[in-house]
Amino acid sequence: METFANLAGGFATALTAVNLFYCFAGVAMGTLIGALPGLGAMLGIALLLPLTMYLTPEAAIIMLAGIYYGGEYGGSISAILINVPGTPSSTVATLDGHAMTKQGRAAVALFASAMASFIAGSVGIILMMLFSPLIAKIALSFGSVEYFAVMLLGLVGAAAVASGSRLNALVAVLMGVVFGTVGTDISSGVQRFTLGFPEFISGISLVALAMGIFGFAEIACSHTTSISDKSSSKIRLRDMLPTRDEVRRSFGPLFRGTALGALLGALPGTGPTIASFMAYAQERRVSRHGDQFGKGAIEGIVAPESANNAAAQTAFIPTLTLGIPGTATMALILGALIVQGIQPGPRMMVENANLFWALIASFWIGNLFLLVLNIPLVGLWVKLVRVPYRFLFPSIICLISVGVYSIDLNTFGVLVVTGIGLIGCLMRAAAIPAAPFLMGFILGPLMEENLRRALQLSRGSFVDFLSSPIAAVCFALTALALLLPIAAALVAMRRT
Amino acid sequence: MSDRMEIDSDRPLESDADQRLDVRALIAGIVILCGCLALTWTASGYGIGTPRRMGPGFFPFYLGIIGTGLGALMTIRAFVAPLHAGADVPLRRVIFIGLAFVFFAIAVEPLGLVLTIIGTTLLGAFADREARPLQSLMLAVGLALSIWVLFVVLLGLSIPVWPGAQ
Repeated sequence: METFANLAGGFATALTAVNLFYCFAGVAMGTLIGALPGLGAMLGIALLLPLTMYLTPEAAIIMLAGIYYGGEYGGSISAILINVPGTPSSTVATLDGHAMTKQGRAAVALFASAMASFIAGSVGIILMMLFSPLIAKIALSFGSVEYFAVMLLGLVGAAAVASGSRLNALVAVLMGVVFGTVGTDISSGVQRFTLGFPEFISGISLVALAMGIFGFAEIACSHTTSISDKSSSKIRLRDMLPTRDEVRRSFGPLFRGTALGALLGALPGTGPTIASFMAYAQERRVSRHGDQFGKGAIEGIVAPESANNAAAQTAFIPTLTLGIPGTATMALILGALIVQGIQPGPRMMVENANLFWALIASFWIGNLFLLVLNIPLVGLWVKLVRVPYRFLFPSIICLISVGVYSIDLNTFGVLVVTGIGLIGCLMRAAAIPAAPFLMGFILGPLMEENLRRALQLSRGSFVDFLSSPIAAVCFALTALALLLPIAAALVAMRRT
Repeated sequence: MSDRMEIDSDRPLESDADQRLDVRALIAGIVILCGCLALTWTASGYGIGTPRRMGPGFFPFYLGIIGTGLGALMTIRAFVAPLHAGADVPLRRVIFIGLAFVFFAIAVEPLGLVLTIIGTTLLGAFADREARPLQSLMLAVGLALSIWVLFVVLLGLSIPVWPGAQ
């Protein structure tokens, strides 16, 4: 019953007025930015990163996490109402969600999506409560070799499941790791790749990098057209209740979607987006109403929506217990904690246990806030989403500039945002994805440090690395992730 | 993984239709290749050390070698299996948004927060062809006011507000 005592302590922290406020601010910001097509939780987190410097670690992570799972709720609002997914993970919700809107049943779709998200999110939190302490206990025995191996697997895994070319994703990871080496080498004090700028001695700032790649490049290059469709602006509460038949049909998809999402969220590389696609495909195969999919079947909303929200919660398990993020958004939250002077990982679960449990408690509170924000107040978001981008983009530019400048009152950071932003645009032109780049940037320095320690312990022998079973399995999986696509390509070539 | 598999299965069709050289991938590949060669060269100057005692150049040196290989693969693939996956970058938006950031960096200390935000907003607004001058000006004034309240009044940052305040 230790869990409950811990959770009670967590609630005591999360329920203070200050933390409640930042939890609410986070989920509201997340819903808004998630609902805006083309802008994702990444931008929201990057925008609020400078603000977290003024907050306690608890308030900071509660708010940033709120943006993340709030974005999953918000993304489905625009997917259902205007057929434009607000976030990549709500893409499949457009299929049946918007079909229901066209039948005049948008309210039902929104209600089903919010309820499925809430229930799946809650299950995700319970799993997190049960499994995190266990995983942290195992991870306490991890040495440098194991950490290096798991991080390598995480990075290569993220590249392997990225959409588009695997080679380009690997290039992105590598570029990120290289950018992470800029600055003073911790063990020797040598300044690396500073290009003569004294500002780079302490490394490229995570805030500036995230804002450049997810602020500048995102608003400059995303295909965003102003939304002028006004057909669905009236959503009334009493229209929201689904029919009894629909409720009955929802239990199966809800259960299967949650299970799939919870599993995929906790694995490295896979996250809410992949979970939602797989849940939809799985449900279409399993369902007796498979022919109605795409024409407004309630299963087509419940399954992907429960999957992506379960995944959004369980994604925190590896990030907090191992210190190894599975997705780029998690990597950014990890980076924010490191900036706060907290190194996530099994030791954090012991030394800063209250932070962990306060975060868990804030998930419950945040999900309740989201239910309120998404069911009675959905009309508000619909109006906000219609703000034209020619107003939104200049506002974002100003907030990024002031935010980065405010960190150290040095304009150099704003120029770094510009430079990284231009690099981000070039990467888009060459189809090199941004998310693996950020993961590489954050994990790179940790990998180098663990590699150095591991090699010291093994007296410079790489072969000794394989004597650790966990590391050996990770290296084998990494090799598999790298070689499988090459083998598949060779087979395909032989055939033609 | 289903979205990934769909993309994979589309690929042969695309490449059948478009076997021309993928110029963007070629340029990207060459840039990565050259960049990583330079990285390897610079890193070796920092001192590679031995595996047992990694020098400051050890990690970047091997990153450079791996990157050179990846860059070479990208270059070769641009000829052999062109993907044409690159997105079009709207030049007008990139230029105006870039100018807006640079303007902020140059102007904020001499001109102060209010005038800088107005200038940045106007530059940013003209990234969009639909922007109208009067509307953008109103937005600029509104933003200057709200950012002043948020950052200077509430957070208490010592950013100069008007010209010559420093």
